[in-house]
Amino acid sequence: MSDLANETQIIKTSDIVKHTKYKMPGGIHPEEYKTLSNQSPIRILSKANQLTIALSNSSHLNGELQVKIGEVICKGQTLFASSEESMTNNTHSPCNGKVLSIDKLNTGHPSGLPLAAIRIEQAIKQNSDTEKQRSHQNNQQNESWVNISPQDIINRIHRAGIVGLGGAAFPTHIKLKTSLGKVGTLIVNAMECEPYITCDDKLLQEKSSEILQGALITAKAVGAIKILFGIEDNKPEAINCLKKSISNLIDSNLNNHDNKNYTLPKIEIVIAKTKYPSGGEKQLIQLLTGLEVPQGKYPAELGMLVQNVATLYAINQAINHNENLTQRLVTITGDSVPQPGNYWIQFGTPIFHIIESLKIDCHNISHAVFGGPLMGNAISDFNVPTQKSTNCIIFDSNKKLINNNREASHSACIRCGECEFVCPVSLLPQQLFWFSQSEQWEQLEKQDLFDCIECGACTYVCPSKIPLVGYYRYAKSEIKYLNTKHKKSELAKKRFENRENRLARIKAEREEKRKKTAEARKLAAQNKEQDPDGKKSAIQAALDRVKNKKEEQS
Amino acid sequence: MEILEPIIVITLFASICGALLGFASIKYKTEGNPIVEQINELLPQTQCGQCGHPGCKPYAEAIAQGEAINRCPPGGEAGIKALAELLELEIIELDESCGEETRPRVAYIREDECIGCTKCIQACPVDAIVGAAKLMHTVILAECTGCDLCVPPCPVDCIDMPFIETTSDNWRWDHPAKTSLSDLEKASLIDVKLVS
Repeated sequence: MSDLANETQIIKTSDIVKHTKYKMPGGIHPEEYKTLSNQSPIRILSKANQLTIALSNSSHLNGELQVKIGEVICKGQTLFASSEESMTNNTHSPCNGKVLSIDKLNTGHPSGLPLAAIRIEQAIKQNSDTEKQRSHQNNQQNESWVNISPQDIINRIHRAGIVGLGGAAFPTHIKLKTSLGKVGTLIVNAMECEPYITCDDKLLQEKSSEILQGALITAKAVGAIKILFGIEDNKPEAINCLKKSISNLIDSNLNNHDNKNYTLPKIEIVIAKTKYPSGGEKQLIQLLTGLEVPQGKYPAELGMLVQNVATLYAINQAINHNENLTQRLVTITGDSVPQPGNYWIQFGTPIFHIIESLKIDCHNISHAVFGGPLMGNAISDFNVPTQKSTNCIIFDSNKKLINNNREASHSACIRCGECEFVCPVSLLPQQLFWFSQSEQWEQLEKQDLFDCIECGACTYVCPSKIPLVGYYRYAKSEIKYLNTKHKKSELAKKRFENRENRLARIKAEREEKRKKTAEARKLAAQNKEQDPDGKKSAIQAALDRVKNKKEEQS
Repeated sequence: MEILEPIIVITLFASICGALLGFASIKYKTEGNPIVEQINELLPQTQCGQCGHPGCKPYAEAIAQGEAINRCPPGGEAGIKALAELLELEIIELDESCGEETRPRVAYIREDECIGCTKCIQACPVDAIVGAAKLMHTVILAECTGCDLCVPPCPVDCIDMPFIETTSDNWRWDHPAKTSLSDLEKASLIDVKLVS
């Protein structure tokens, strides 16, 4: 046994941490502004009186509401249960309280259109519901996750309402299900490449062992035998914390010989040079493994699964503590914020509550953004709530530049080609721009517009300040619209033709029937002439019958 | 006699070519008129009859015979432009006697008022209405082209033609040149960082 221990010890000390030798194309090095928010410890934001919980990002709700208006609810209670295969997710109440309304509200969709949401009045005082709460939160005894079957882990993840917390909010259980049995490597996305955002960094610094547990659970759920933590070299503290947790884990695993049927996956930290957008799923895979995910395919095809650190933390909380996903770590930053940092914020907390409780001067905000400065969306309304996908909120002031920008539209493209050098997908942003501007949709599809990840690197370097991503988004949604329109007209054409054919067929059938009856009538009339009272034919029929009988007997 | 050689060669050559052409005309025979199919492809297939023909295909046939390309209101400006490009004609304005270009619509039957007369079912060019005699009818929204043809036959006037609502699913991003203030603000955030 001691030999084995020594062997693992050697592995442990030599290479948990590695530097990647692979590169990705393109990329930019914008000013980071991460020290604004990563210098203070994680804090908890004060609770808002009212929460607005969005049920879905789509107008189609695939699932069932679990509460009624006026119902008293408790923390962690299921508000909306989605059907298993749908892209919507389970939603839970972040607090004890009462359902105020179930309505369509602006929940921060980029269109500003209202979507189904539940408004909850938060009960600030703890009351008799605490018992009920316990029954909801801890209805299952904690057994070690090692003994839970992969399918069960995925079901629990679905029940807890976990989605990809990196920003895309794709349902995690669906991602795991489609990777089930195909995946050998779990890649943990801790790159956090976009400026300003530090929530993954801080989470790693303070909760690295929980994240590691989450990674082990996920690796077991999909059958991965290797875990790679991909992280940028601008987070040395997070790397240290993670390294410590990994060595502790290996040590405890060595001392704990009870679990003979569980083998620890191989765990490595891979450090990459800081470069935006290294945190894109396909970019990360390319950086860590040198492999390119083929066009239109998923990482599972290469035997890989990518999960964000915050998602893994949520998975750990769901499996080991039976906690549903009702809050997340959000970076609140920007030069208008007196106390920038990372806060645990309940889902559904309205932006104005964040502004009030952090004492942000409203007059000093000239722009507010959900997400990072490169890929985020402007906040149009301070009543909008935070959601599962909200990883960062920036409040920034600089009125002068806005006014300038508002008046002047962008300059013409000078064909400098800067955008081409920075595109991480090796597209031709300049060509895409020209084709978008002249609305040549077919050409755009040929130039792989739909491979664009809208990272904004091209917009960032453009000397003419052309909102390139804006053009690509416009072109993408226009092409999608035309495709659905075309599909609909194809369907209408087919149905119209089918109907025409059917009507023609019915007409022909009727015509034939008419002809037949006319002929029959004619024949009957002829017979009547030859045999007025039908005696002849009756005799003939009787003769035929006798003849038939005779033949049968012989 | 020298003239004989080229005559034989040319005759042979011509007959080979003729045979090949004859073979090709049988082997690669096209069904129907291809230009009609191409025109039909560009028409919106609402089958509304506003052009004066009983459906899109008949109008496509008429265009192939030389009828004006500006008689299709659902196709609108974009439709005229596409037809003009295909047929190498000049872009003209929509013939207003046929109707106006509107946002897409769908038929909606107020079901409690429906008496079950089946008249709208017979009028629908794409079989998008279901129901039976003396029983309530309803429209399959996904298959309705918004052609309006079911409205006049209804004896109790219980069919509405609402515009298709914009939801988060069919919503489209604005053209950047027409972008709202908020998006410009976002763009400026990036600029701030470039300058500073």
